[in-house]
Amino acid sequence: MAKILLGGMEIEVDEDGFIQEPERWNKEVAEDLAKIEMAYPMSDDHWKVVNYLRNYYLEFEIAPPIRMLTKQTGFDLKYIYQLFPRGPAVGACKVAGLPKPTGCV
Amino acid sequence: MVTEAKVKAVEGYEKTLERWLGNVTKEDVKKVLEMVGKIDKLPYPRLVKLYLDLCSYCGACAEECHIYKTYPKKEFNPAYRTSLLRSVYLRHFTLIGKTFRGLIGAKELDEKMLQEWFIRFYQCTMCRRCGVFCPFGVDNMALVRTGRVFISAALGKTTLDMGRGVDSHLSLGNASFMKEAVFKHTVKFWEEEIKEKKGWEVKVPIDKIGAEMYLIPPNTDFFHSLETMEGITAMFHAAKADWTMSSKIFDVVNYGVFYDDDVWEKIINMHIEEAKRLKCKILVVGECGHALKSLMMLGPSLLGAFPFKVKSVLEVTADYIKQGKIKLNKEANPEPVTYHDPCNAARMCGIIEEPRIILKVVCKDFREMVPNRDRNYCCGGGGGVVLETASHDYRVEVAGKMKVDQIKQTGAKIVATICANCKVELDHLITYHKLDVRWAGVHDLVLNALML
Repeated sequence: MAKILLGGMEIEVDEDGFIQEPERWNKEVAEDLAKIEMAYPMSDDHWKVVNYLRNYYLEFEIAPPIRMLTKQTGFDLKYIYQLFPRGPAVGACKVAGLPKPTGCV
Repeated sequence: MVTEAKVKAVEGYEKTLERWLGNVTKEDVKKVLEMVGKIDKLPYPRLVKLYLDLCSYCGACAEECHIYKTYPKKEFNPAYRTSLLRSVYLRHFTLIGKTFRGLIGAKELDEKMLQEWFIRFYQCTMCRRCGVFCPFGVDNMALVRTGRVFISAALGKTTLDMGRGVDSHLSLGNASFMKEAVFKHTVKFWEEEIKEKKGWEVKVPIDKIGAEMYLIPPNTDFFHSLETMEGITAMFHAAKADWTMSSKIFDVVNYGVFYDDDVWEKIINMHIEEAKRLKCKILVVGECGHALKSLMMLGPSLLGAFPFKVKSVLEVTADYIKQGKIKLNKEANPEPVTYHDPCNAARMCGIIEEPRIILKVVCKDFREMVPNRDRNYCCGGGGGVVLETASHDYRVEVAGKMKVDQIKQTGAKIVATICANCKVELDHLITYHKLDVRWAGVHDLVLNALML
């Protein structure tokens, strides 16, 4: 596991760059992750996706179904790919500070 | 044409695979050789030895491999890939190989060879297309899997996310770290979706002992393709089926199929035990390719007959159509639709006509891609390759390239399929290559077309 500088803090990330210390996630960390994920500067729409993922994760300790994400944000999958070029699982979940989703996603 | 992007994608993933295997010691080599020496303890030793014996390096397989055709380098030739196993077996475990190694291409297993094993066996998508065209019937996929089995059994090594998925499966009963509360919350969500889309009050029966059918989908569908679950649920509702899901075992995937016999057996036993507990007559596999192979083919062959039948949900739906139990309106899917045959469903398990029976009555314009059925090309994500984030560039640039061309030629706007692995790979291909197409499960389209 490597440590990288995110939001002015040294934070441990896994080999695909997902943070391993979810409790240290904040707005600045998200913005630095968004730079890595080609999703910077972050618009209101970026934040809408990230906040939804974050809140779901805090409640269920996992990423939500993509269908829930698209329904609750009102964005379709194509648009989410525009916001996060590496997609909902790798791109958006990483910026939201979630652990990497596993299993065919 | 081998572009710079392709070279970079291949080299990148090769380096990652090398890193995942890690430093190889003489001790590691010894352990793996011991496993090769126990070849007779494999569940299918005669087949493996036959395949090791038969290859004549004629090259017919290379001409049929989607990876080799996209990137014609020696190492991607299926016969070369399996020669790595063959040459070691000859050298260490046959009299002729021990005596005349130079003459028959026998090679020592050393640290470098072990590294090459890991890389070549995990680059293969195990689609088994080459086996269909081999004049001797050599199933290279079985040999690739055997090579992976040797490494896993001796060193406990596999690729990163496959290993994580299995850790989750052995501790929680599913490959995605999903707890029962999340499952139930997700079920409620898709019930509400059906209400919104169709106006139907539908409840998913959970843990119903004695139901005729026990449905286990790949839990990827919960995250990635919930419409498929909605379609299957609505279809059962329309047909007034007696069915259930389980709150404990709701994931049919079994990554052991790809690399490890012990893991495979532990996971399939979860499926078998839960089916027995629920006293179902039929275990219905959702839209998943490798799980069909596990439960329809490997399970009964290696563990003996189950006290229940195993069916694909595609068979169930196709039967309902034949019996006139469900009403479908093809006007609901007016766009041109094509179908991708998942290798494990079509080539391995013969689920070939069922999806076509369904698609022809739920879509207005169904088009075949060519080649198709048991001659289809792999999507590029098979054999567990799609599970790895790090394999993305290799999959979209090389392994899935032929699929992209095939889809384009149909002019279809929707590419339907029945495997969770394929759906993820198709999603990545469509996005990366900017195709004006979307992917769907067959039951996503059934959902649109269903009427009461």
